[in-house]
Parts: sequence; structure tokens; C-alpha cells
Amino acid sequence: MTLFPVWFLTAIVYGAIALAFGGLVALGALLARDLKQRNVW
Amino acid sequence: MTGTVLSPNVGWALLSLFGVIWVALGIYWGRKARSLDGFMVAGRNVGLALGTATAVATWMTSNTTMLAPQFALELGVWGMLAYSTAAFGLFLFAPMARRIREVMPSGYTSVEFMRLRYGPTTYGVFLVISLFYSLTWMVSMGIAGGILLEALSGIPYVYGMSIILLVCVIYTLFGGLFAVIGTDFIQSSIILFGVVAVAIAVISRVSLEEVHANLVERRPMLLSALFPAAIIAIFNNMLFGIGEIFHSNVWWSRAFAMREGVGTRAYALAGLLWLPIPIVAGFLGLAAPALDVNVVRPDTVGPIVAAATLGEVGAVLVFIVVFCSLASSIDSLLAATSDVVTTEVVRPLFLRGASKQRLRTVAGFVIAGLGLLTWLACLPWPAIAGHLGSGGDFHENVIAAGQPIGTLATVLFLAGPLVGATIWPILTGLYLKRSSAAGASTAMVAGAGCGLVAYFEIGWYAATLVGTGVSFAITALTVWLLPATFEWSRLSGAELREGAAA
Repeated sequence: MTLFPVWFLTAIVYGAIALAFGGLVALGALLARDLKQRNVW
Repeated sequence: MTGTVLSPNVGWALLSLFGVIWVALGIYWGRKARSLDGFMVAGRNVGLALGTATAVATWMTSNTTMLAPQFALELGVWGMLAYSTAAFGLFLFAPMARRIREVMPSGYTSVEFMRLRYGPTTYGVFLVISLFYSLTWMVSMGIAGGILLEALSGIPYVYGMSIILLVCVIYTLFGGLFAVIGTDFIQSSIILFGVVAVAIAVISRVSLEEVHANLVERRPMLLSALFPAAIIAIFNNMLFGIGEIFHSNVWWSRAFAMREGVGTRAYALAGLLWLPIPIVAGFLGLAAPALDVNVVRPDTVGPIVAAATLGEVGAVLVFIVVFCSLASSIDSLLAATSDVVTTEVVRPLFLRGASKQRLRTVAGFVIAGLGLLTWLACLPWPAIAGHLGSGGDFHENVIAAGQPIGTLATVLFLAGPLVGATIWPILTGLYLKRSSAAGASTAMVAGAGCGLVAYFEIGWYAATLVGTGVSFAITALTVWLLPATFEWSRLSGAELREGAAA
């Protein structure tokens, strides 16, 4: 049976955590930009 | 503490705090929602930040924290990757959002599109599929909410379920899509933070090397790179997600609500933000064996691992995340379903010729009515009551509580072939003049029928695949052999009139 190596598991889990955290920061940055440009809604 | 990881007092405090916040924000934003366009499509001027966040929040249901870890625990690494493919629905909807706004600048709902594009028969079929899906989803969220709050904090099922529904109904009633989108931003931020925080806490307790080594020793199948059931699940799940997003007015109403030029970027970005969540949540399922957490019912592994790792802080975090993910989906469903019922059911049947202002008032009553209907369906009828915990041990409660969720997940999976069958009629209807009414309705009916047969004869994992496949074959054949000629201008006119009540 071919198993996913530990580096693969590490890469997807850490990658996903980084992407989710990055997303949180991006949402904040986008809101700040929209607020500044009075473009929220 | 009565065996739950959170005392009922803390649970009540959190429920009250967030309930008051959402209602206050709903009333505050409700000032903007006095017109029909304000109430139903948030003034058609939503920017990128709120547009992205609302798509992320709505797509993150309590299933994302419950089902993704279960997928990982049962189907391994492929399982959590399979769940994350639901993000492709958001990616593929991104260009459609632009097209929708382009062809229907004054539109309100997906059902309205199907009616104007294909006529009454297709409209009828689509309306039934659409309402079946939204009501099932809404009821499952209500039941899941009551059960999870009871399992986490001992708040009795009826109180938890009723309060979640009541809070969502009140702020959606006052603030319409403005309130839904505004609260979605806060809710998606809280969920992203919570999921990341729990995952980091788990990693600090047990390293990925330990998780991997434990799986190799005890459950190697979960690490298998060739896991046929999981690979089939990937395609089924992806198509289910695409069908859900393509047909549901939850997503169309946001496409109408976003400012011109925002929709494509917002949905693409939302897909990117949502993609990692099932992997992060799924990791909790994979880590469970290494953490020696006793998981009897796999569909509650996520919250159990979080609570076991972080203790009371983890339980508080999970409670808030679950509350936010439930509210962000229930409010969206209430608003989007009320739009459909108001403009596509009540208006043609009882209020033909009614003004926008009159419909705005009616929409409020429809939201209240939908809330009441959902609440009645969520009451502890014998099928649910038999599974509710009795305030004893947390794990026993969680295990018992999983039963009706599982039953409802089965009903929700029934919607898979139905929504899968709508994918091609919607796509060709949006982009090809040749797509005909007869082709669209036949494709939806035959696709849904064959998909349901596959569901019972083969299994849930093949149902959506079959439904979508049959629908594709019929749509392609009729577009090729029995083409229609549709004028796009028929979609662009404003149907509803301004002014005082009719």
C-alpha cells in the first residue's frame, strides 16, 4: 500500500493553516481598504 | 458542570451575548433595508471585503466543523481533501456571478432567472428542487444547533434550537441582506480565527510526525494514496457542492447584491479562503487517534478533539465557532428563501402587480413564517427526542445527539442528485441561446430521477455523479438537436414596479 509521506501531511496541514490565517488577514486588509475608499456597501 | 465541557451558565452567557450583538447589528443595519432592493439585495452595491466574507461564512456551515473531521477519520487524507473540493463550487461560480449581473441587472432570485429564461414548466421543477434543498438545509441547521449547544454546554435542546432560530429570524427580519452580509463578515472572521487557533493548539499537543506515525501503526488506510472510496467521494462531493452553489438563491442573491465588477473576484477569493478550512478541521479527525480521544460517533470528532485539547477555553471557542457557523448559514437561507417565496410564489399567486414597497413588507412576514415552519420541524418530535441527551455525560450526549444529524445528512444527501441535475440547465441557460425549455426541464427531471435511483441502488457517493451525468447528456443532446433561440433582453427588464402599494 502506497502511503502519503509525513512531509505531504505536514505540507497540506501547515499550508492550510497558513492559508486560513492569511485569509483572515486579507479580509481585514480588504475591509480597511473599502472603509478608506467608502466602498463597503 | 454536569458532564458537559462547558457549564450551562457559560453557555447561556455566550448565547445571550452573541444573540444580543447580532440582533443589535441587524436593527442598526436595518435602517438601510427599508426598500425592497435594500432588503433583498443589499442595495446592489456590496464591496469586495463584505462580498468575499459573506460567501466564505455562508459556505462554512456547522457541517464544516462536524463533517470534515469525520471525512478525515473515515476516508483519511483523501477524505479531507475531498471535503475541501466543495470550494470549487465557489471558484466556478465566480465568472457566473459576473454573467448573472450582466444579463439580469434588476434580478432578485435564481428561480426568477429560470422562469424568465425557460418558462413555467422548468420554473415549477426548479422551484420544487430549490425549496426542498433550502428547507432541508435550514431544518438540519436548526436541529444541529440545538443538539450541539446541548452537547457542549447542557443548554436543553429546545431552548438552544429556539434561541438560534429566533435570533437569526429577528436580525434578518430587521436588516434583510444588509444584516446578513454584515454579520457574515464578523462571523467568518471568528470562524477562521477559531479553526486556526484550535489547529495550532492541537499541533502544540501532538506533532504531525506523531500523528503520521500513529496512523501508520494503527490506521494505515487513512494515509493510503490510493483509496478508491475516497477518490469517488472527491468527485461526488465536488459535483454536489457545484450543484448547491449554482442553483441556490443564497448565492445568486449575493451575485445581485455585489457591486459591478466585484462578484468574480469576491467568489474566487472566497473559494481560496474556504479551501483550507476543511483541511484544518479535518486534521482534528486525523489527530484524534494520536491524542487518544475516544471517538464513538465519528461525526462529532472535531468538537470533541477541540474540547479535549483546549479544555474550557477550547469548548468556549468551539461553542462560538459553531454558533457563528450556524447563524451565518441560517440567516442566509432565511433571506434567500424568503426572496424566492415572496417574489416567485406569493407574488404570482396572491399579489400580482404589487409594488416593491408592498413586497418589502410581505418579505418580512415570509421570513417570520419560514422561521416558524423551521422551528416546528425542529421541535423534538419522537424521532429527534429519542436521541437527545439527558444532561448526563458529555460524550454520551454527543454520541446520542449525532443520530438525528446523521439522519438529516442522509436527507440532505438526497438533495445531491436533485441539485446536480440543475447544473447544466443553469449553465447553458446563462451562456447559450440554443438551450431550450423542454431540454432544461427534461434534463432536471430525468437527472434527478436517475440520480435518486442510483442513490438507493448504488449508494450516496454515486448519486450526484449519475444525476449530473444524465442531466448533462440530455442538455447536450437537446442543445444540439432541438435548439431554441432566446433573446437575452428578455432577462434584463425590471419586472417589479416602484411606488405605493397596489
